[in-house]
Amino acid sequence: MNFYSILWVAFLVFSIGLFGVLSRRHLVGVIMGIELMFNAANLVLVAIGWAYGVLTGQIIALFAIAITVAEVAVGLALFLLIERVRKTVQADEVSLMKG
Amino acid sequence: MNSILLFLVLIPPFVSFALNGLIPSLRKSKKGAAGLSIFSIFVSTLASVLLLVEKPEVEFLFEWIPSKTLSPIHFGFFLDPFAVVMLFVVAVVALMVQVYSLGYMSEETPSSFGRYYTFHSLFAFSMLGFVASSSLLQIYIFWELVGLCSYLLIGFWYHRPEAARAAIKAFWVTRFGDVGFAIGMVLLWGATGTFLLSELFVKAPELSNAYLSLCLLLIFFGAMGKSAQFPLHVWLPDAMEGPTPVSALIHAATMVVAGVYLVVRLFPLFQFTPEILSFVMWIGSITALIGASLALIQEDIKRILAYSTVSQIGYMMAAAGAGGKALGLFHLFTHAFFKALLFLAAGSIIHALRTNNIWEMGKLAKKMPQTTILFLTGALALSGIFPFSGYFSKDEILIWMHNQGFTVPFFILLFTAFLTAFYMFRVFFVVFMGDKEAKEHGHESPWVMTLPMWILGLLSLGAGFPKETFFKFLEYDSESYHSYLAYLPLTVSIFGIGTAWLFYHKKYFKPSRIAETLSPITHVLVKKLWLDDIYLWVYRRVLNGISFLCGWFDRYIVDGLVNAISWSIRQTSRGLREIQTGRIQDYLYGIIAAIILFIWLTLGVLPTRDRINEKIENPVDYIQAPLIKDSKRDKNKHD
Repeated sequence: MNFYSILWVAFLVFSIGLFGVLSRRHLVGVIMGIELMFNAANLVLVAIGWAYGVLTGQIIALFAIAITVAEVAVGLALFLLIERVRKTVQADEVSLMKG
Repeated sequence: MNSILLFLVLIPPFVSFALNGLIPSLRKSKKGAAGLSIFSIFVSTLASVLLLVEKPEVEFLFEWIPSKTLSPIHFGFFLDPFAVVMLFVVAVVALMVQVYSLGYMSEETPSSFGRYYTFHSLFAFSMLGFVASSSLLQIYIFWELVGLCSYLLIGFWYHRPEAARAAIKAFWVTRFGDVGFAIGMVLLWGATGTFLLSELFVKAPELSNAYLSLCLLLIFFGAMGKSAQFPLHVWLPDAMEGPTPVSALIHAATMVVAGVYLVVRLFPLFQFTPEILSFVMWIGSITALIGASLALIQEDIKRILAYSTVSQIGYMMAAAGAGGKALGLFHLFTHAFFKALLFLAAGSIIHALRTNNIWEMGKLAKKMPQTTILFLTGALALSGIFPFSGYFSKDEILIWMHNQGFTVPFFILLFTAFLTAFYMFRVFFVVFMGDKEAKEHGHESPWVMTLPMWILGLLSLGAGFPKETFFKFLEYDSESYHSYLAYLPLTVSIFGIGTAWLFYHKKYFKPSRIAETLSPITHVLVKKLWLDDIYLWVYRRVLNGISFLCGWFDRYIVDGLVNAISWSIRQTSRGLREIQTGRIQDYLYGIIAAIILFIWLTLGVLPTRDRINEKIENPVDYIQAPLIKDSKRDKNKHD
């Protein structure tokens, strides 16, 4: 297990997350994709910290996880509100920004 | 001290205008508005009399538009004896007219009455300011203010279409001349870099004669419009639609004499251009003749007086053009009083009889004795009969013309003097001695109307006597002249009165038969030399044609260009709108595409990559270490 294989894994996870974000219509699916992308980023941080033998990477990853949790809480609250107002949580049906 | 006096002349009418204009409750109180206005012009009159006694030479300036590259433009006042005399004339006539208006306008509604006095105050202020101005630019400002006020007052009864039309006509015709004035003024400034009269008088001789002539010709064009000189005199008779006291003011002291005063004021420039001066003289002479001949056939008493003003202003212009600027101002001085008197007397008749037509008047000598005496005084003064003021000034002008060797203008003006006496006494015999009974019962006017007339009557009688003092005041040497000439204008005038007496009082000859015999001339006069028709034709054909072309160009070329630009932008936007689907994923595609693009650019495409790496190297070199190692390894692989 070396540094570059971990980066490759992170890249894969990131890509899967991105695919989820782009392809899912359900907002909860979208946020799950975003979570995957976050995890990939955290993985890279931890891997770099490990590779250089410093703790900075792990510390930043911990902060990032905490922030992600808060963000997911806000996101889910938003989805609940959207569901209540628009009666839907499908991303393409909430198109307020249509020109 | 003298500048305080000057401000006492100028400021009160302005204060009256401002207060009346800004405080509606004051304006709508009849006594308040009129009282304030009359009091302020009274203060001005007193101060102008004191100025006349002091005879100061004041130049009072402050920088109005400072400039580092050009010479600064000044605002200020410049008094010479001519200006002092003119201030006095303006203030006195304005005062008399305002007092007279108390009676004449008494039937107006309070708000209209207040408006009338507000305009009068502004009128007096603008004319006084014009007289005392120190620079051409300032003269132009006040000149336009005078034009504006006369527009407002001619169209005072704006609900009457003729009055509104006459006001617009007056405004347009004078503005037509003012275009010349503006261009001439700016040309003069372009060559000398100053608007100040005192500096212009010094710098003007250095200009080439042709250039100076062009400037002065254009400036005189403005004076022609304002002073109703041929062929721009057409607005003045129509301006009779205004209230009669306004006509008195416009004709005697403000507005029309402004042009003469401008020529007199700028005479130090005009004297360098003899061609322009003789042009001024010829225009003046022709105007005098045409005005007098048009007055012969009018039936409206105010129009007769209006044409007589045109004719008398012609005298003044001719005198100024022949080099006798003091004579021109002297005639202006005497004319102001007797023409104001004549108009006020005519107003008194119109006020009593409610008609302007002289053929509907008659036998007024018994009903209105005071007005009769005063009108007779004015008529005698205008005709130039001996003890009255007109005699002195007109005589001086005619003799000056003769002595300067301008024979043809001399005879034109002499003949005009005959015509003047004739048409004035035609009016007098028909209106006051005629045997036709007026429909309305004539009565004498109230004292507020007769008192100013008596004062003006005394001035018309006496203004000519201090001739020597007047010329000494203006530092002008009056010449002695041949004795037989001195009686010639007087004889001609008496002959004119006699002819009128034979025609209209004794009725030895029928005027209509004379008119038939001279039918071509009569026809020309009835048509007013077709000037109005020519102007109308030019307006309809030429100006409307040009306007139509300009309108087409504006509508289809200028607007079309703008519309094309906006249309193309709208179309583009409509196309671009499709990008905005409103779906979050679509935007994310865009963002990710951009990110990938940037990553790709940073990886290999941008040429600055190596430089960026070098810069980053130093502060965080421990992060760079494995990457550098890595790239080295890659290189080794390649090797």
